[in-house]
Amino acid sequence: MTVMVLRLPVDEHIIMANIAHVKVNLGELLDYSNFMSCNVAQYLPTDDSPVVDVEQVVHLGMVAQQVRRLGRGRGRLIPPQGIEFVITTQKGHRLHLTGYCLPDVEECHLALHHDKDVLRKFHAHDGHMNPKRRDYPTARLHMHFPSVKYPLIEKSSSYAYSIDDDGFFSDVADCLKYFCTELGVDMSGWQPHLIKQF
Amino acid sequence: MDKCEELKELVQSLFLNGIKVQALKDDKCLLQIPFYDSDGDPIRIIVHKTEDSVTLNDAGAIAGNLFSLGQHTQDTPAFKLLCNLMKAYGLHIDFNNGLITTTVVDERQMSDAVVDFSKVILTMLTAIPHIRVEPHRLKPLGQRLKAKIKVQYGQANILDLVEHDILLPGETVGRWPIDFHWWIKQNGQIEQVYVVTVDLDVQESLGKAAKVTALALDIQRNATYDKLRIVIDSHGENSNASVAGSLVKQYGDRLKYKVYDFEKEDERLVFVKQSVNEITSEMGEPWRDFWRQQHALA
Repeated sequence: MTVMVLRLPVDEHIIMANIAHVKVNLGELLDYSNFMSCNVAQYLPTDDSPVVDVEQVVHLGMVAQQVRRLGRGRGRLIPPQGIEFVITTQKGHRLHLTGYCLPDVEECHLALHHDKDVLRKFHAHDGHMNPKRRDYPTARLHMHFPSVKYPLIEKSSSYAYSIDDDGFFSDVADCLKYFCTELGVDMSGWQPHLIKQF
Repeated sequence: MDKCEELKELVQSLFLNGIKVQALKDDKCLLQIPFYDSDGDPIRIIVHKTEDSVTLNDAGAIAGNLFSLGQHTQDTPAFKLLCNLMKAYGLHIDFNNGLITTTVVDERQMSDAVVDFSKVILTMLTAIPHIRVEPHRLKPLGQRLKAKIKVQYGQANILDLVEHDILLPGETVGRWPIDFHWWIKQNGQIEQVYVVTVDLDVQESLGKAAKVTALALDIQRNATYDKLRIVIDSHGENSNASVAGSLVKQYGDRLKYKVYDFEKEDERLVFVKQSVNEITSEMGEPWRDFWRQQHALA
């Protein structure tokens, strides 16, 4: 049997164009039309890709439910304004949303978890550095997302896209509204806690 | 300028450009050190000068990182590492405000204190994310009741002989949380025992009843010989609690699980006595051997 090998001319531009085309198709496949700002493929360089499993989960309909107030004590170290929610997706995944604020520096941090994996992080602070300093600087309000090359928390850095707002927050409830709007999480029924006044 | 000088300036600029100091309110200032955490976010220290001392704190970044990773309870490896660092560097944990602090009385020791404090923050924010253990999360079903059962098991000296907090694969959801687990051997057959607790004195008691019934259905699908015990707790503080309790009991026969109402003394005693009997008697012997080996390995 004779095997014929057809060699095509390798052109880097064609390869890059194909990668970009695949990404566009991925976006179409997952139907990001309702959440265009969450289409993270548009924020990644051509040599990296979004994590498909994660994108399929975070674009489902989600409902948040607070598990209970967190008590402080010597057995556990709770950050300022620490909150925890259980998020249920329309396909039955159970996710956890954790959040806290650092009032002295007016920073806010929220994260969406699935077991040990972090699917998204919403941060309100200055000075974030994307991997290899791409698209630097990032705005004060930004959303971290995992990519194939830079999964969240397991690398030296992760990608984040800017959210167009200059809000300065010292309250986790304000950030929670942004986070849930961005990801389409239903927060109806939740009442913000009163903050201790000194 | 020779190459050595150029290199020296380059290295110096790498570090010096990363250091930033910013004034905050209430006589505090923010010191940004030239290192980034695992998200690519800068690491910061708050310096607060009082009349006779200087206090450094992490602004809550370490507590936030531990909480976000579900390692904020004292039985987790990250928390234990933090405690060791506390002892090694003489730091203090402010549990009320979620801060790690250190106080410098002699200003001549300020530079050593800042360097040591930076080491601790850098370790906690960069190394801890790589300790990939199962996160401690609040259980959606029965957090309070689980604590009550632990007290009863502790009094009966079987608390260390049961396995806590395991996850079972399911079809309705990815994984189900099980509060206590052991197994027994009867007629040469190994039977797994799973205990799930449900607090019904909450707003969403009906939702919890539906969830725990779905859990029972999933367990029933996967194994025929396993025993599921659902322990419910309600004090009548919620109008839906009794309806939810009835709902859970209604499917007990069909889905082959037993329900115990912890509020009723007779059912509580039966549940605890049954647990003690199974674990400490002859049928629990293979489980006890297995469990002791696990502890010996640990």
